[in-house]
Amino acid sequence: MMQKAHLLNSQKGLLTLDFLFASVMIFAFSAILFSFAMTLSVVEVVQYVSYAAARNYNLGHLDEDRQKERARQKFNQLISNPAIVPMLNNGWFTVGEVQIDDFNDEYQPNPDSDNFVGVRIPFSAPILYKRIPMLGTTGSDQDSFRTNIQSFLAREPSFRECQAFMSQRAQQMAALGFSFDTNAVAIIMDNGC
Amino acid sequence: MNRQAGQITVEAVLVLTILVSTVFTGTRFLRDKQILTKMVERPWTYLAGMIENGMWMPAASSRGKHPNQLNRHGSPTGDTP
Repeated sequence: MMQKAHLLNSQKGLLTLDFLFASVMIFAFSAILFSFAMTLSVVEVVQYVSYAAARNYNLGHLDEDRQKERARQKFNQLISNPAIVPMLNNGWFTVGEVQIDDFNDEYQPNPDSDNFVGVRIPFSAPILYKRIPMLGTTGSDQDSFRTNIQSFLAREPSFRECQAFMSQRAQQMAALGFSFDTNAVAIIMDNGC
Repeated sequence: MNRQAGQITVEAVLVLTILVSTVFTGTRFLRDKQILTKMVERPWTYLAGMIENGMWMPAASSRGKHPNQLNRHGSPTGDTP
């Protein structure tokens, strides 16, 4: 009987419940902080990938398809770098198909700033979605943590666009009554403009 | 009735009940109010706006305030105040 009384008076396990609860809380908040730190780091890297691809899209080439092709090559080169591949293949982050285009329709800029032309990389961070015991989930679902990482550096006119422009200009000048002797003019071209 | 042998047991059960109830109520409150979601998913919407459009706003509503929307001009003499 005395032994049972001593057993009930023992307070050795009193803090176990508090300890369990505190452990879960500390683990949860540490995991969330870790996830945000990793997410922001990877976003910075992917941001640079979009910037480098947008620079390649910006530079003049034979035609726009070639400019897009060069941008896509740069994107593929950087995104497949062994330094970043493990981060994108372990389920923590996903990078979608790169979009290289004119996004002015989406942004509806004023006529003076019609310059939403560049590269967009769909990005999501499933690492931020966590189901933590007793506390619940950190988001509605894994698709909650999406964004677009993009760089708008505009695009230089291509060789063919410049040629078409020059040809159209010559035709309009000819329509005004001017005549052109093509042998008398030395045409010096860089990208056609 | 004068024996007090089982009193500590009753109190232990009561204390345990209160503790467990408090923990269950607290965790249920956290889940029902989606406290953790508000701590992570809601800030992410603003973070996504900053990543996408450079503004501390949700991405969908910050497109009109993207820095590329600003007019750009050069002036050798500076802007007039």
